[in-house]
Parts: sequence; C-alpha cells; structure tokens
Amino acid sequence: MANDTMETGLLNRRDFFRNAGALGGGSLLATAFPWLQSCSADEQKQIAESDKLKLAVIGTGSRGQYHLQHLRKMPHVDVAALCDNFEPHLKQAAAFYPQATCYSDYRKVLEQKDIAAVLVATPLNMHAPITIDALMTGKHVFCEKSMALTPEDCLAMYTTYKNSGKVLYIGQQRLFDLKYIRAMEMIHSGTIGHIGGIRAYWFRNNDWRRPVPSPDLERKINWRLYKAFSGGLMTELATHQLQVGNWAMQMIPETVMGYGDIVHWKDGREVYDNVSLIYRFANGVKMTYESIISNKFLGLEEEILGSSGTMEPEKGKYYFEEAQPAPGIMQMINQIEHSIFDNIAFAGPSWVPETATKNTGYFIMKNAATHSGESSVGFADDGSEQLLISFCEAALTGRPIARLVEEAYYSSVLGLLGIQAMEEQRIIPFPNEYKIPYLNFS
Amino acid sequence: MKDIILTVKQQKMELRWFCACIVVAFILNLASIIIYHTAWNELWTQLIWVVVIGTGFYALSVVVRLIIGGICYFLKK
Repeated sequence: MANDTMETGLLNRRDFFRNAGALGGGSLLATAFPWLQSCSADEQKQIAESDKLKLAVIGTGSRGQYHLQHLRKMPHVDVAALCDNFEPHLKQAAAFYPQATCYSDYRKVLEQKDIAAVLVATPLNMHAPITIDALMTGKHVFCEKSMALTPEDCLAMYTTYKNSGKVLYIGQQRLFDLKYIRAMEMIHSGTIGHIGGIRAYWFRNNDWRRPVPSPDLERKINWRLYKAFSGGLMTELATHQLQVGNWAMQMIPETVMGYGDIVHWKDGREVYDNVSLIYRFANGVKMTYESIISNKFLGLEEEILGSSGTMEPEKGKYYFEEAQPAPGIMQMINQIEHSIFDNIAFAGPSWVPETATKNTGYFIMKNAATHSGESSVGFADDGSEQLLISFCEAALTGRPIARLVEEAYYSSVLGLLGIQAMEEQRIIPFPNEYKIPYLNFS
Repeated sequence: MKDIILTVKQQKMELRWFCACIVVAFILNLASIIIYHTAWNELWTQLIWVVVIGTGFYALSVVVRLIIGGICYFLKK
C-alpha cells in the first residue's frame, strides 16, 4: 500500500504513543502495559507494505456502527463484508460501506477466504460461537466485551485463542484510554499509597430500552434485558469497571457476594436493574460494585482508595488525603476566630462527625477526555478508537498482544460469578477450573 | 449638622495610622508563615489579605479612637 494512504492512521497512532510515552517513558510504559507496545520498525514497514486488512463486521447495531465510524478513518482497513440478521441495521451500515458484501449468516462470512479478520458486535450470547468459529477458520477476531454469557464459554474462547495463534482482542477500551494508563502508572508507583478499597459504581436513570418496531422483535432489539442473551448490568457495564479494579490491584479477587433485584423497572425484563456486590482480594481489600438504573446522581466512577490519596480515573482526577494547607495568614485568622467564637471543647475531636473535606484535587493529565455525564448515550474519546487501531495493526502483523485477553477474561468471568452470587445468594469462591495463568492465579 | 473638616495635620495623622495598620498586618503575615511553616512566597502572594486586614485594623482604630475621643469630650464637659 502506498505510504501516503497509510499516513492518517499511523499519524494518529504516533500521536497516541507520543502522548503515552510522555506519561512515563516509552520502554517503562511498554513493560508495565505490554498491550501498548508499538510495532517495531520492521512491523511498521510490514504494515505499510501489506495489502489492506480485509475486515468483516458481524453485528451492525449501535456498537457495530460506532466501530464502523472509526474504521472509516483507517486507510489500512477495508471493510469488505457486513453481517447482521436484522435487516434495518444491516441497511444502515451498508449505507456507510456500499462496496461491502452483506450477509445475514455469519458462517457465510467465515467461508470467505479473503476476509482476514472479523469484528464481532452482536448480542452477548453470540460472542462465543462466532469468535470460536472465526478463530478456528483462521480469522483474527475483535470481539466486543463482555467475552461470553457463561464462564465455560469464556474459557472455551480463551483456549481456542491460545491454540489458534491468531489475534484476539476484547473490547476493554479503558486499557487504551490515556487517563486510565496514567492513573494506573501513578497507582503502581505508589502515588496514592497502599490501596485499601475500591468503590466502583455505574448509575443511570433510564429504562435501557430501545424502540421496538414490532412486539415480536422485543427480545431481538432489547436483548440486554433478557437472560438468554445477556447478563444485564454485570456483563454490559460492570465488566469494564471490574477490569479497572483488577488492573489497579494487579490481582484477581478470590470471592464474591452480593444482591441483585428488579426494583424499579418492572416491565417484564429478566435481568436485575439494581445490583450491589463485594469482591474480596486475597489481601483483604474489597472492591464494591453497585449499579442502579433509576438514579443518576453519582454517575459512574471507579474510586481507588489509597492510604495517601484517592484516584477517580473516570473523572480524570486524583486527590491527596492531606489537602494543600491554607496560607499561613488564613490559618492564623481561622485560629483566632475559633478561639473567640467556638464553644469550649470538653472532649477530644473524635466525636466530631468525619464528613468529607472539600478537596478539589488534581487532574491526572491535561486535556483528559471525560464524558460530560449529560447523557448515557455516546462516548468521549475513551480508548475505543486506539483499541481498534491496535487490533488492525496486530491483525496485519499477525502478532497477538500480551495480557489483553487475560484482562478481559477475568473481568468477564468475575461479572458472571457476580450474577451467580446474586442468584444463589451465597459467597462464590473463584472456581479453580476457570483460573487461567495470570497475576495471582498463575 | 455641620461640615467635618480634616486639617492637613489630621490627614497626615490618619495616613500614619493607616500605614501602621498595614505594617502590623504585614508582620502578622510574616509571623503566620513562620508559625505555620508555609511557603515564603506568601509574603507577596497574600498581599491582598495584608491590605484587607490592614484596612480592617484601620477601621477598627477609627472606631476605637472615636469612642475614646467621645468619652474624653463628655468627661471634659
């Protein structure tokens, strides 16, 4: 391929690595976060000289179309096929890519020898069969998160991936979000001290429904609400945040317990609209997870609580426990004022309620992309594009990326174990049969 | 009601009072930096507070002097 046509995609990639490198030094960064390792000069040359990556997008709903928008900006990718068994979605996607061949059966796509890679953005229940079939037919696969609907399927995907030697990416885009990368670098270098707890939550106030043109399409369109297709909040939202918790802790939790209920949206859905769980790590640290979709006051966040400070990567901010002291003159006036107007203390300060102090904190990095929170639809630059660029480059070089699938595997299985814990109302230890060699489960 | 006339001597005196109040406020800022171990650049970064506090001291001194002057006036009567 001519170098000039490669320029846009590679420039974007170079900017990303320059910004990432500025965070903590290129080689150090690549060691700590190996999935960020840029291609070697030889591999870049290989990408530049290779034919375009012929890619098929399977699942052309909202997420599939979101990826298609990014793919349009990547000159080294040729979207050669589109596949969906829901005609309106397929037509919408085909309008962007009139040259792509359209299919309604993914198996027909996999039969195409010239297709080198597939992007899977279907309902969750189809992730495993499509990904496994694609890997077995020699395709590289980008599969949306969460990995699969059951731990067995997650493990089958992982095993197939390891045996295939092909590239597999799972859509855990926070791994490619610069503010998260910077936050993790700070956490792992001890900026906020020892982690004592993690509070992750995702609150929104809507019914999570899409308009349904005909009642018989209810399950097809609103698949997130039904157990045959989705794990609800735990597979669609929690997996992102559980991955962040594991990333921060560099450890996988060993047990989980929790409660889940349908509290507000009693509209025939089968998945919980209100979940609250506790994941416990081997060192006693707990990661709490809460998601309610009938109140959005708190939005979403992963609060990583250290002995010296707190990290809020979603907001792109961190806070030290000891706030910057007020100027001396203000402290003096304050002390004089207190000595004149305060009541005489009869006891120590321990009886004073420890309400949170006002602490505006610091930004993790300049110009961090954060979501405004005004709507739960749409995304800020959250790493999704870089994740996709990285996948396309890996597919062109044929080089799988270290640790990425393992991160996704554990966050997916932890989400599913959370569902099991809520349904069975008991503490679930991480089953040995689902442990793959990674971090503390090596 | 009658006009209040401040003589040049009185104006100079008020100016001295005001300067003295500013100096006291500045010394307080200096002392607070030493006592609370804060940064020395507060000597100039906190000048706005020095002016505010100095003006407050001056206003307080005016009130006190008016009260004392009033008491003396009535005692002399």
